[in-house]
Amino acid sequence: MESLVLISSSVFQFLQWILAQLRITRLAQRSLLRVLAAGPIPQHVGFVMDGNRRYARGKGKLVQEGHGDGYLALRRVLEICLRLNIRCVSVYAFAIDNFKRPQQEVDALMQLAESKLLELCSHGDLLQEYGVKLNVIGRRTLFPDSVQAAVCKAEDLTKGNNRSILNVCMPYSSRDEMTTAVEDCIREALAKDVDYFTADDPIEGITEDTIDSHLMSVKRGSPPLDILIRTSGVKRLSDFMLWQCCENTQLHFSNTYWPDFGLFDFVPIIFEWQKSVWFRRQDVLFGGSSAS
Amino acid sequence: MVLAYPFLALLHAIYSLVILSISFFRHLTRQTPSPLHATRRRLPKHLSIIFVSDEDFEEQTNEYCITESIHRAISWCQQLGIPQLSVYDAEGIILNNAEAIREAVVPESRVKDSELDRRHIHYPPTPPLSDYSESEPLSPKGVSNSHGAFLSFCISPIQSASRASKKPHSLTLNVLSRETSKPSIASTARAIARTERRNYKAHNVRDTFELSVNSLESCLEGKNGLSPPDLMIIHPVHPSKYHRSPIELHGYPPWQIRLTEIYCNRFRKQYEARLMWFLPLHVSSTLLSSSLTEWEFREAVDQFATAEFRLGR
Repeated sequence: MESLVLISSSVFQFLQWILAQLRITRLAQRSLLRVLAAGPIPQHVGFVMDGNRRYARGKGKLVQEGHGDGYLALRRVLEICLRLNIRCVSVYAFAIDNFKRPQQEVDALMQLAESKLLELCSHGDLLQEYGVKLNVIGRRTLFPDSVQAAVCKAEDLTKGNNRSILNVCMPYSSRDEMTTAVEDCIREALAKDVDYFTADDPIEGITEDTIDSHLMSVKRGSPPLDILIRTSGVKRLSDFMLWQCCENTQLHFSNTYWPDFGLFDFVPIIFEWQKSVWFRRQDVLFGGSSAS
Repeated sequence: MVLAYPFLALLHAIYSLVILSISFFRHLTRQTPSPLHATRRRLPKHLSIIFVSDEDFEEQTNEYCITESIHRAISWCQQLGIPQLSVYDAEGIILNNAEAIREAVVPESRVKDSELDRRHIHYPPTPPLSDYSESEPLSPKGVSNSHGAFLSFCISPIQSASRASKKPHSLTLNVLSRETSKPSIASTARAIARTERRNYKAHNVRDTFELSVNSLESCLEGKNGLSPPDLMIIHPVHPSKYHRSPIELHGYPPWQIRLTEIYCNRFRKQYEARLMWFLPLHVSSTLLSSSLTEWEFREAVDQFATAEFRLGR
């Protein structure tokens, strides 16, 4: 029985090697993405990259290696998104609450962030190739100085790009983003004086739209969030873009761990999006007439 | 590029077939949730239900299904001892029927006060101190309290509870609407700003205004606010139409859903819907619209019991 498994797996590996040599899989992937891009495509997709540690534990790897594989998955998924012409991608890289993790793991994550951000933005790499602007969203002052410097440098390298946006949320929490937005609104309103002639009180002008426009991600040019994907089977939002995703955002909870997340997890989500857009159009076309 | 469209259509057709077979397989292998009274590892302290109605269909069906679901949910929560239940819909159907719901669940409501009037809904004028006690006794006998932009009534325990071992629980029912969502955060912001300006004028000092997550939290969730739900059930009244697209939250208050476990049964009435595909949408949807079932409720509570909370660690 065991030998059979061994033989079949080696045959499979051989086949995979041949395919890799012929670059057929790559070609097939690209053409699949081109076909997909012919339909409606969401503007803004968010990812909660969850499951790196469980993935590492399952494979008998170190936690740090799990995070490293998570970074590779991010590159893979990002390239898929960019090939599909998705305008904005947001990823939840590090939560403010993640600072509570063991010091060793936090240090490793900081190192990873520092080196990989610069790698992503360097000349000739993914972000430059596709004209992507990098935004690091969150309470950066919580980072060690070296990481803050790397973040500034990385953002500086891509500030001229305008085709797409990559929001890396770290150290982020949605409540923190909302609080900052509310704080900014109030500060602005307090700075202005009441116009006694028109009785226009700036404080009374604070509405949900005002708060929305003061959110960090919106200020940096992100369109409304269309799809939110959470990996590793957890059915919670865990403080990621709550304000943005509580309305008109499709939620997907995928059972795959983030490092394993790839084309075949993502394509069904795009299919669902396209289906819902088509049905909505159909409802607009036919629903209105049947109601009247 | 022209060739891409037929390919895309073909892919969608294949995908639909795959999904159909997978869902058929899941339907065959699905597990029956544990019975209502089974002992579970963890029970939610605050359950929230989002009702998704569709304006395209008859208002009466919507109202009937939603009201029936709420009555059922109240009874299950009382039986399990879940102390708080919030019901939400984006169109305000529940809020419009709040009086009827209250009369049905609070039988001894002799008090016909005008507090239910929506004009009386008030927002906390000043940021309350960060007390986090939500278990403080509300008005004793089902008198409605108007909290920050939502209605809340206290339902006294059922006397005829057969399970005498557990003491009967009272239940707080919150009726939420779109107003409780983002507009409530905006009005809290306005209230804080007003207080701040008054302070400026009184002391005549101007330093930069600062707001911490905790102080905003105490305004939104504190004394007059809405506490965050542990478990959320999304219940589409017309599942056949809703299940064509992925789940959404329909504008539920964003601040509170940070750690909420989200549940939605995607398989309810799926087969009936497939069998009735030839009927016009409004006919099939009226036939298929339904209230919350005990099956869904049990499945949701089971999902919550097995969930793992790591809180960032």
